[in-house]
Formats: sequence, C-alpha cells, structure tokens
Amino acid sequence: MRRKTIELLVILVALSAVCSAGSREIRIALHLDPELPLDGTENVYVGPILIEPREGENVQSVDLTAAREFEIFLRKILRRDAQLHLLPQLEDLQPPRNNLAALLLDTDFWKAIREENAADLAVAASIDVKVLDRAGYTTEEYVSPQDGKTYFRQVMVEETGFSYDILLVVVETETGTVLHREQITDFQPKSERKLEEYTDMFTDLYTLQNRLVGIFVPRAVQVKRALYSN
Amino acid sequence: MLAATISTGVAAAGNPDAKEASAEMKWGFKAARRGYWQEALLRFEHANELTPNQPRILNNIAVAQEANGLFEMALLTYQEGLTLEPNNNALRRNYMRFQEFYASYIAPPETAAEEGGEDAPEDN
Repeated sequence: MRRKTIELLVILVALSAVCSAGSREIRIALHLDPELPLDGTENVYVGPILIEPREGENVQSVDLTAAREFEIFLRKILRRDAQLHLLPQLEDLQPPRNNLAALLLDTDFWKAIREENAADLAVAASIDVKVLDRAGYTTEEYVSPQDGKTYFRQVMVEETGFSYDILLVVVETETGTVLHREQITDFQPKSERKLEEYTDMFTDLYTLQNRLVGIFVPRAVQVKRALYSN
Repeated sequence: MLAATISTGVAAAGNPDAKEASAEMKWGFKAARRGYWQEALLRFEHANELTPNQPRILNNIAVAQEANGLFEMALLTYQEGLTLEPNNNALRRNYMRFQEFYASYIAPPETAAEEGGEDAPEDN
C-alpha cells in the first residue's frame, strides 16, 4: 500500500514537472499598419466599378449585379469599418474607357472627379465574377482506424458559388497618381439551387473585408502562439 | 522532456544565472498573459542574456517581438531558435504559423506569391 502511494507521488511529481516544462497556447492580437497613411480628413469618392470579364466572354447579368452589389458593399465597409468620409455618387459620371488599366492612364478623368466634388481620393475597381458549378469525384487518402493502414477512397466534391477577382485602386484625384493597388480574390460558396439568385453576393466575405479595411485603417489580426511559462 | 526539465532544474539550482533566467521567464509569461508585451519582451531578453542560446527563451522572444510589431526581428529570432533545436515542436509550430501570417500580411505580394503564400485564416 505504502509502495503504491510512493509510486503515485513520483508519477504526480513527474507529471507536474512535464506540465511546467511545456508551452501554453495563447492568443495575441497582432497590430498591422494601414497600407495608406491617411489622416481621416480626406474626401473619398467611390467609383467607378468596372466589369472586366475574362477574355472571350461577354458581360452577363451576374456581372452587372456583382458590380452593383460590390459598390454597395465597398461603400458600407469604407464608411462603417474604415470611417472614411464618402462623397455622394456622381450620376452623370461616365468613364471614357471600360478597362481600368487604360482608365488609370487618363489623368483628366480623375481630375474631373476632383473638380466635380472636391474628392481627394477615388477608390475604383474592376471586378470579374465567375459562377462555379462544379461537381465530381476526387481521390483522397484515408487512414483506417481499424488497422492504421492508409487507403485511397473516392469522394464526391462539390464546388458551387461565386468566384471573385477584384482589382482595387486608390487614386489621388489631384494628380491621377495611383497610390495603392490591391488584387483580391475570394470565393462565396452557394448551394446549387441558389446559384441563380444573385443576392447576398458579398455577405460574410471576411478575406475581402479584411483586405479592404487594411488599406485604410490599422487593424488587428488574432493569432495563436505557444509560449513557455518558465 | 522530463530529463530535460530535471536537468534544467538541476542547472538552475546550481547556477544563479539560470535561476534568475527562469524567474524572468515566469515574470515575462505573466506579463504576456496580461497583454504587457513590452515588459514581457524585456524580461525574455534579460533571460536570454543570462542564459544564451536557449531555444525556449528564443521562442518567447520571437512571440513577444511579433506582439510588439517587430515582425522582421521575430523572423530572425525564430530561425535562430530553430537552428539551435530544429525539433522543438512549439518553436516549429509558431514559426509555421508566423510564416503564414508574414506571407499574407507583411511580405510584398510578389514575395508572398513566390513562397506560395495564401490568405491566412484568422487563427494562424
């Protein structure tokens, strides 16, 4: 009996030593500086949002809806999360070109925006949206819990939703200089039966939202790290 | 691990520097848990001065450097720690997570693309 108690004590001491030697997971908020050094007094114009479909493809209704929804989403993020001062839309503003790269070379266009509404910055974008409706079988590794051996099995994989490819630029309207350029891709999963409904196209897209906000204001990214306690 | 702990304990018992370093690590850990990362970094660095080339101390320094926004220094400290002990699990895991974060948020897009960096999930 006494021997068992001593053994138990030794095990407990050893266990506590192991625990104290180990590391512990903690959460840290890593602070990131914004891409653009703004002071918050800038007048920001949002637009134009251009549609740039892939080569050989025509503009479809999903592209038009995506561009409209993205503009609403962008304005909401910039006003609510980045707290920028946004200027109202210029209804009669017609970009002379539908290609963003070409439009960026047209400094008169950006200067015209400034003359119209005293904008300091213009946040413009081109968007390409693709409806993915793919389903098929793929082979994946599988370790059997019975015998621990690795087998291969066929798995049905469905990939349905909207795939976005967005080029966002921030232009200084006074000079037409591009201050920042950000290429963002994201994927909005949708069930197959909802692919025809072009609603909530930008809801809960955290990657996109995080990247957009990070251009204008500081942000914190939550991460986990292991830290030794002694 | 038990042997390492016992040997560390024995070393700490006989070596005043090791004993002080161990105390600094404890205080640094407590400061870090409360979010006082500047103090944590100072204590971990002091522990490193007292007992240099300890991967566990370097791990804590690297994490504190990250928390203080010293990302480039953290990268070098992780690498230094892994050179000393490539099989240290905590260090390796932290380094992998840090690399993912670094490629996604800090490194220029060209570099990130070359390294195969993708957008990191929230908890990396």
